[in-house]
Amino acid sequence: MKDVLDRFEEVAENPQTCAFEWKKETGRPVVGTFCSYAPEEIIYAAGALPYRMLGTGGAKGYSDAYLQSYCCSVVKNTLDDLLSGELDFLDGAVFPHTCDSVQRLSDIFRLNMKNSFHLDAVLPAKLDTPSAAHYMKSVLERLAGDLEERLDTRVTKQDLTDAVLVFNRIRNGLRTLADAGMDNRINITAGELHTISRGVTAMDPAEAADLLDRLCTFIQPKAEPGSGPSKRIGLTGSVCGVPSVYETIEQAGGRVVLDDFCTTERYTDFAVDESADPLPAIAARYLKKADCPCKHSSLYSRGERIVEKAEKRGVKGVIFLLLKFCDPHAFDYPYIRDMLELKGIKSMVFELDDEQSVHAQFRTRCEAFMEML
Amino acid sequence: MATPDEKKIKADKRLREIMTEYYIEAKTPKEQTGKKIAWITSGGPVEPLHAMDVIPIYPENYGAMCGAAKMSTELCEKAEEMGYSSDLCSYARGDIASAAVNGGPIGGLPEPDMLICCNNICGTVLKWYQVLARYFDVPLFVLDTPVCHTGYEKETDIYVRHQIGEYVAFLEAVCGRSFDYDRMDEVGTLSVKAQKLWQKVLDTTVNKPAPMTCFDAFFHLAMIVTLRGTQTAVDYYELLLEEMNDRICKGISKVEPERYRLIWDNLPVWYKMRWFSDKFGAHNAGFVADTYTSGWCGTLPYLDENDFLGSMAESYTRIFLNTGIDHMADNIVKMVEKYDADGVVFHSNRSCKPYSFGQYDIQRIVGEKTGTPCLMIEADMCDERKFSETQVETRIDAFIEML
Amino acid sequence: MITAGIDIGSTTAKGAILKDGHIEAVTVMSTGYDPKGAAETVFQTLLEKAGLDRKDLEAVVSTGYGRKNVGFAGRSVTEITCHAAGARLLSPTAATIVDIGGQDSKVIVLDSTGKVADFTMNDKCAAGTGRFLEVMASALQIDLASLAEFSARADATVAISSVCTVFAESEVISLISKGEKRENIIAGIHAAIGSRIVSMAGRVKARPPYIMTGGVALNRGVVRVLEERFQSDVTVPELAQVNGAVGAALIAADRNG
Ligand code: SF4
Ligand code: SF4
Repeated sequence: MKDVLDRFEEVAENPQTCAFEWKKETGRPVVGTFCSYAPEEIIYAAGALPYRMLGTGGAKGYSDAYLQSYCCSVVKNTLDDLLSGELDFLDGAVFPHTCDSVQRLSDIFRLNMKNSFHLDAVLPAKLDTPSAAHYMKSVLERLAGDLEERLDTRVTKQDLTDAVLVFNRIRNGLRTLADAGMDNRINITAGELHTISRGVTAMDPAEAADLLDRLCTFIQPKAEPGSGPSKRIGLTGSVCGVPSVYETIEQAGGRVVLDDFCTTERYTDFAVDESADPLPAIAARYLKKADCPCKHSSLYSRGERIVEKAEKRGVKGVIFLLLKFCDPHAFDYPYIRDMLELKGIKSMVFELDDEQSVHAQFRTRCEAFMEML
Repeated sequence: MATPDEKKIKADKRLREIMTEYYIEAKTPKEQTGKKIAWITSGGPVEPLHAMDVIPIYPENYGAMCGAAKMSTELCEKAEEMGYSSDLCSYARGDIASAAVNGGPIGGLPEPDMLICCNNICGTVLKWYQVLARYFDVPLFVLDTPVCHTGYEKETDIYVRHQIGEYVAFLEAVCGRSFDYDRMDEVGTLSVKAQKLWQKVLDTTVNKPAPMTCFDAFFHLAMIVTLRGTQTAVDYYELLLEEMNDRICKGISKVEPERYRLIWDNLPVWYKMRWFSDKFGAHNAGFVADTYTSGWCGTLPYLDENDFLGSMAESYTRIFLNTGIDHMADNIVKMVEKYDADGVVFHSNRSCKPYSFGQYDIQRIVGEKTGTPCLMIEADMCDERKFSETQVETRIDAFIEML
Repeated sequence: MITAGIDIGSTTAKGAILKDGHIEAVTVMSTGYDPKGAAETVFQTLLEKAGLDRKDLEAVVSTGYGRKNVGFAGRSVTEITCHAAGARLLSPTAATIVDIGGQDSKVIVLDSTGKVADFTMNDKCAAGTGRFLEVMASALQIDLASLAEFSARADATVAISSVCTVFAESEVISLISKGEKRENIIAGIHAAIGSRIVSMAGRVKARPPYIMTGGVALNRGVVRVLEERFQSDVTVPELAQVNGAVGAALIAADRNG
């Protein structure tokens, strides 16, 4: 098991190097993407490695000449990576529609990328109407066509079906592991799960699927007894690249049993229908997967999902990790907090300045929160 | 030199009257007016509401009023108490709080019967209207207008057109009667008329000296936002246009002598309008145009007077905030040429990310293409706590020295 | 039973020894740059004051920002929980504790049994903390301790609109150069802190009776602003500064008892 975990960690820690090596070995293109709504299946079907740009951090400062100080660190760090030349290995980038900041990031990328193509996949913001569903499908068809042109290739139905199978395996594997980890049926911490999910974003999908399958063989049928006195904690909020929060929560006496971040729960939710025509099936998945606050479906969908999962997993308290200047999540926080409160689930909100570095106060707050529960 | 009295724009008075009447009607109990109320985003399609005799209410217009009355900061603080981050758009924070405590100069807006949200200006409005829909528990219609980064695609047109149909059906359901297509044609014609007049009003500042500044335009904008599609708006802008032409004949301007002609980008700083106008005025600099007020007539080329409903999809989707930043930069370049401007002032607005992010690239493009000096000022349109007078003052002085 | 609580804050280190629920000794000193050393000194002073020896103590709990630096403590508990515990002894009726220290400020809401029901802390920004007052005092070139005195003489409150400490500092400087009275500016500074705290309090549904602890509680000007904004009395307990340390000592006893 250790070698598999090590491999995920290696990629999670050096995503750029790993993607670049993949490119050298296979001679195939790498396409950068943003957000859990990027239709990776299509990019992979077009023969490229979908590489999720999450920003490596380190406040390189290049982006300060392009973006104001009141921009979230995910966007700033990603632009830093581009401007510092670290993303020069990309053959192109695909930006799906998400929040306002990413719309502008996409424009800035388009104007400042060198020698690589740029595509917008302006997905619908609304997910709950037939016209939006139809539009979703058309946008994906256009994207497939654009990719064919840019990568000088053909995307056949078979390519799409193959890609769907691989990504279904990945998401299914991640989900199975997460469930098992949280029920104590496998010796994997929430922090390790997070690392795995980060590794998946920059790895050959086929390799990722195989590794996940291997990990799943270690799952025990029954839960290990005695998880100790730890308090069961749920995590939600903006996309999160800070494994150290898991450690801090554990040291404070908490156990993460619900992880609703963008690279975990919101990424793995819902499989593509393998028996249907692949492109419409892919479109259908992006309409139905756990929604992110940039999208509009029902008014309470996110709150309901989080409350339901929290109750199912016996969560005592929920920690909202909000990234500073992330508007979509900041708008959703008060109502979800209230919904949890109605169910007697306490919550705490913590604002992160930069995903990559957690302020010392977080420790104190976590400890106080555990003491309160 | 014109006297202070001559410098005043006479139509101001009429505008105040109309806006007062408008808010009085809106605040009159519904049993008396028999009209339903819709809250709608500033870039939203208001014409079908007028066609259905629904009173449109613009929280953003009210946000501007609160800001100008320096009442926003308090409301923003209230929203923060409710759990909303202080980094969110101050219109949204102010409105969410005002709904809860009936705040602001007219003691809160009349409660809505429906909510109309069009995301052609930002994603913030989508979140904001979701909050409102939960709070008031009334039907919400979302008009989803995909961003046109590089162009207007066919599938976008199909999608938005389809939604215009859904919008009509939504109104029929909420109002309980069928849509009046004949009325819609009339309203559409009036809307196009008002937009053309507004464009003409804005064009008068091509004249040297300009008969008004953008600070006047920010004020006179109220009508094109809230009442386009009505005869009132058409009449008003005819009056205003006449007055502007008269001022041109008489050579009256706000800034005398007008030494520098500037362009303003982004929303105004509502609580500091006077201050900015005086500050620049003292250097004989006047703002002859801005990117904000022209936003309400910028899509005229896509509108078809004879098929308003049919052309709504394209015209509402292609408003400048919903395009790529290179397109936004070109818009400014054209303005610099058209108005023969000497400089561009960018308001980097902490509230409005879609309008502000990209300004550095825009500044670069404008500088390269026109050679005009640019100034970036950081503030917030309503939240006074985000404004540092001393810092901004120094920058303005240095900028003027550069011109 | 005899227990001790050691509270290592960013500016001051505090300690308390309790014997069967009664306070035997308390002490306050500056933390300086050596939290470990400060903890040791506080402990020694306490023992001397109480006339006790180390081995007389059955348990020691550390708290505060430097709580992990207290090697001799059996365990550490956050200042939030300790403040709640301290209030149970020192101000048993309190429902809300406003604690404004040097680097951070907190609002702690207690349930009917005196346990923490909810809490919040300032974000990274220093507005609403003792640090904010320090910066402003130095911009005005007056002693931190005399801020309250000055604000008491104010005949108006000058609005300080900026929330960021750096902005507010330049705002204050420009107000001085405009000839505003220092008294009135200080009243404005206190009002600005008040706004921050009230907004934090709103987020956790704070309710009266209020008590205030932490170094800034010594500034009557801030307390008065909070009373106005909360429209309620805000009591500063006599032992406000050692409230957290007392709480830690109580918690130490609870574990054993
Ligand atoms: S963290 Fe929030 S603001 Fe930043 S890119 Fe993600 S959704 Fe957008
Ligand atoms: S100011 Fe900007 S963010 Fe706020 S509602 Fe208007 S467009 Fe949206």
